[in-house]
Amino acid sequence: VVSFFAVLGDLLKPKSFAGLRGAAPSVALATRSLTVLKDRKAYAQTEARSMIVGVIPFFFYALCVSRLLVRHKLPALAVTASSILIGMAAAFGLWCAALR
Amino acid sequence: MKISLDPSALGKTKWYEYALRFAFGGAITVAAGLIANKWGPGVGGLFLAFPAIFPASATLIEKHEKKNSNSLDGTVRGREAAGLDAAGAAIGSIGLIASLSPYGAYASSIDVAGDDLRYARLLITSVVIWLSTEDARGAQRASLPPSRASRTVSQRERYATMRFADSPLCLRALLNFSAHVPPFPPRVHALRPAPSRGPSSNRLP
Repeated sequence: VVSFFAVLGDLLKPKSFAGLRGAAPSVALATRSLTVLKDRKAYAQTEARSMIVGVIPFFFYALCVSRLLVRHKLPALAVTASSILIGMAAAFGLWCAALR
Repeated sequence: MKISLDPSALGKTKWYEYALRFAFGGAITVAAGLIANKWGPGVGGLFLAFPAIFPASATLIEKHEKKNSNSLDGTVRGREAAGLDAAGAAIGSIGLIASLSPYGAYASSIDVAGDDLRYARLLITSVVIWLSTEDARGAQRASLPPSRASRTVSQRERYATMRFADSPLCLRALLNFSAHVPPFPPRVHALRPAPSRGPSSNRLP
């Protein structure tokens, strides 16, 4: 599933449209059906709520990465790697504040 | 802007680049599963929302676009392409929230068969937002004067570099101009005492 999304991103043009699939949580896509079949629905619901909370910091993360790359022309690896730690910390903080 | 599919891109991607994405995605999947087992679905869900292939994709897009560029500023082109991909991902994340919201609200709506509907909702929301932003950008471009609208990013950069390169010329012109301007404004001259002249110089012959 992960490789399929990667191939799709390479094929599509323009790049801003190809980026739409970048937010698709391929990990969730791979494990979602298994979670629903194996565990309870309530478990999947809790997971879905956490995913929503996790997506909000990702939105700001992606905006921040986009601005740093387009405006300031910084290297992609450095920007994505350093910003992801901030995104993770923000997601965890938001989860503690909203869902814990 | 026209959406197209470029099959030639498949040949440009090396096998190890797919392997890298596969390994990265697999590692994140395993990590998310282990975290969910250890700390429960609440914490596990945070990691499921993590777009596993995004950092790897951005790096590879930068590399490919840099190679594809015929101009000297290939690095800039690569970074801009990766930035546009990130902007698309930001739009996609809004679609993801829209698709997940019913699941988060009602446990009864969760169904394996309903997953197709969820991804359709994700895709439709994302594409609608993307089209509306493209429309807004198109309108912004149309409102610009033709010379500015037609200028590409690299052309704008070259223009900026040219202006910067011309700065010694501007400095010289400024110095040349200042040579013709009196060193003090007239008001300052008026406040100064008049230069003293000898008594004989005031007399008429």
